[in-house]
Amino acid sequence: MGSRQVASEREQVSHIARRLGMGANPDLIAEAPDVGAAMQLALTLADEAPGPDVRMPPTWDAAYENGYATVQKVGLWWMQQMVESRSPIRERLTWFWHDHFAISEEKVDAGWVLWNHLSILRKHSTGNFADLLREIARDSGFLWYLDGHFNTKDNNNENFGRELLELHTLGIGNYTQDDVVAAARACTGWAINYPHPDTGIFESNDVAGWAPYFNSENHDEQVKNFLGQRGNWTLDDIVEICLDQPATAQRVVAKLYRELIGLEPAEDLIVSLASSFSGEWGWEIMPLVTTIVGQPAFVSPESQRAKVRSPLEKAVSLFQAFPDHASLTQWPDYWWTLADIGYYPFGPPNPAGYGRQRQLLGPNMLIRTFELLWPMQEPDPTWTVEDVLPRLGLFELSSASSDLLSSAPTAAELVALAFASPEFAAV
Amino acid sequence: MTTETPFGPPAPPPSNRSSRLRVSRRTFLSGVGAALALSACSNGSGEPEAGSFDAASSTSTTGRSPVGGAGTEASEPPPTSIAEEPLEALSVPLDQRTLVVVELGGGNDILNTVVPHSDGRYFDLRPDLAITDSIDLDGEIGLHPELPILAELWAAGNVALVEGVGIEKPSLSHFDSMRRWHDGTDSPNDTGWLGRYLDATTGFDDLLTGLTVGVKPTPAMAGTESYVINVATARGLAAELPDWLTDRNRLIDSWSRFAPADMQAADMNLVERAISKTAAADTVLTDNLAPLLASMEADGTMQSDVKSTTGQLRLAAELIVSGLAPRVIYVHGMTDLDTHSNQRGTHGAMMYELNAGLGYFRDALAAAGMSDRAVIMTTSEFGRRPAEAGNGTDHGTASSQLLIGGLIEGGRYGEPHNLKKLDANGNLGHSVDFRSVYATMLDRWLEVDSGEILGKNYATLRVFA
Repeated sequence: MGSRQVASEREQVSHIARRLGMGANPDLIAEAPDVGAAMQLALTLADEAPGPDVRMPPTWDAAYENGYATVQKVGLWWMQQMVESRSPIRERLTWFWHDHFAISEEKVDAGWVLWNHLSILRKHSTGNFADLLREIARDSGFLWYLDGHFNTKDNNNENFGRELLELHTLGIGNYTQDDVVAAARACTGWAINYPHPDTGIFESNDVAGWAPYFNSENHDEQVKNFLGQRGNWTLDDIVEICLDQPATAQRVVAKLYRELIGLEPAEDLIVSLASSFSGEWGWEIMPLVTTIVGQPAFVSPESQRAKVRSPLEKAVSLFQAFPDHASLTQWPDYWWTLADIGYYPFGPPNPAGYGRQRQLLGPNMLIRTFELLWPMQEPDPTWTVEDVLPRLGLFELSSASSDLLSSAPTAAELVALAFASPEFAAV
Repeated sequence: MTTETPFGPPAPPPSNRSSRLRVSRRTFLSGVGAALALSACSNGSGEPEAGSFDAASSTSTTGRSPVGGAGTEASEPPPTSIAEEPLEALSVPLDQRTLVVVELGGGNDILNTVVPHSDGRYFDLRPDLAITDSIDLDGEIGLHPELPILAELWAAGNVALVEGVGIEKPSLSHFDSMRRWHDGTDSPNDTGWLGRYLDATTGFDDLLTGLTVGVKPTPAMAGTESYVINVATARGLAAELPDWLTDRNRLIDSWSRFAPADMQAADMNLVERAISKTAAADTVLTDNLAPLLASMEADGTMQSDVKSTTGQLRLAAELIVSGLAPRVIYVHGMTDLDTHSNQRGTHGAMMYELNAGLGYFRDALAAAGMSDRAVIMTTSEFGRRPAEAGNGTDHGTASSQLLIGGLIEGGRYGEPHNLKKLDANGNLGHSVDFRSVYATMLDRWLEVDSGEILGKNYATLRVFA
């Protein structure tokens, strides 16, 4: 293995499209004459498309009737945005925040709650991290997934507090079990306005159905000692104290660096970026993003294809590559196809988010790349490598891969093999 | 790793593996209760669907064997013992043995799995969640009422219960604890304990030495010189192709020929190797799983049922009886035992799935005369806190592990949990390092030097007859 060569300009443009968006959008690649233009297109913040038609059901029965259909509707709408959005970076960051603040439809099986949660992620995805954290910490879906609504002064449930510290802010090693207990006590009293399963009447008249609300009777009013600070803390206080800790900014910055560059960041760079992020940038996400992608490492040969492509990213690229042959709207079951393969929106395996790198190279997930082709109609028999590869954002292949694809006996096999090639398996 | 492995000649390629049966010295299945168990397991529709842990649906299904009754008589527990010197060889040849690790992910509540029903403190700590109708094993402990088949296996002397298993300085974090259970080392490691076992034994030469049953390979099997095949369905690795791809064999053959030849990035080598190894394992697995696929189609079991612990254990059993006989199968990733809330229903449903899976497993191996060939070992990242919190329990520390198999000397090992002596967080202490159980399996069942694999020598347990 020699030193890595600098990729061609087309390949670099493709790298930018697939890293900053959820797919290697061939239209973006074609539109961008050079790396600078590609960067600009990928970082564009266009207006949001209208959301799906999702209404909070008024009763438990209505919820039971259409809960899962709504989950699927929201999931598909989200995937549609990944395919069609003119703001690739919003899709990349929305997914990144979903991975960070992971919740699963297997527990939160109510589409309107997921839609509300997704709206928060999208609204702040390119905005302000502190605002995102503050709003997510009081979101029904997030509380529901982490049992935050079961946490009362008489029955402390540590799940929400522990994961908030371990996964969403400080990271393990930066707090003690006593801090977890203090955080849990401070976060007591939150509930979700569910309708009663028998009467259908919502528990509270003061807030909308399914919305989170605070019940002071269940809140622990005693003094808590959290990270060395004593006070009658509440959930909001815990969030603010966590934001004050350098560990929170450092953790988020390092994670975003890995997401965008695919390499391990240097310690001093993280400390300096984190200090700007929580300091002069006031938690604004886009200055952090542009600074990270402005690092020479982002366009370095080492960063090219350093990440394993997820089944979801493959799927998004498929719809972008062959819009006349594959349409997501005609395949509502596609969401379940991805669920079955084990990588889909609102389907993280646990609160720590989705698998990555080697975990996505398991044989089962790898061979079922072919199943992702289900929604595609038969490729045009006249297609050649010149037609197919650029559509998939593939501009540089090993000579072995090149030979293999050139000698594919049919256009159909060419498409399938390119889609399942080692080059396409990485971003 | 040592140059002289106890493996002798390298394992034959998968297609040449012997599927001849061998008469068992002991049976995995006690005669008593077998028919009951069969009737309990053949009704796939009685299983709760994954993700719907409604208490009512998980505790009121029909077609199950009655709780208690047959098979609850306790066997004489052997004294707790730590092996001091090599023991005589086991009666099953090494190349016919399989270790089946069943990961009860999320932190299984051990106190409601193996219930200390003679200890009043248990009921004091759990006024609402205590199990009051456990299946008594020995007058002191009992099993969750949804585990009648496990009780039968216990009565047959095929279950070693290792009590008080834990990790040093537990962090109470899922991810830190899981990482430690997967790695088997004190500090973080890119490889898992079974990955290092595979590296040290067959490596890339035999892809089917270690298999994961689950949608992703377990980190416990991550190695540097080996690649883990994982299967999630009874179709093995046979992807269902769109209908415009008509020549499956030709396609997979072409796919397998993507070669690492002149790629520059190390990660790409990994991708290419994964592709070629996957393609190579594809047909072998599909052939071996064909009978399972047929029987599932015959009894109307849905493919999605393979995602339950029941289905996963059924799949694991088929991998053994079909003659593939992998050394290690890791059942990974389908349980969610993180019962902070609604514990009674959720935990009960999971115990029901585990029990039904044990039934399939036991019966399939018994029918093939292979009851002595497998040892099931349960793991979980931690036990749950003894005191209940609302309708659930919080993260805890020590747990117990089950070792189940025809050659296992049934009984209790380690030290019973002491509910009198809880730590500052209200959690249990441990008496057995989890690596002692790993070392026991590595040294005795897989016949490798556990010290090499685990980086340290741990006392082993005398759990084999």
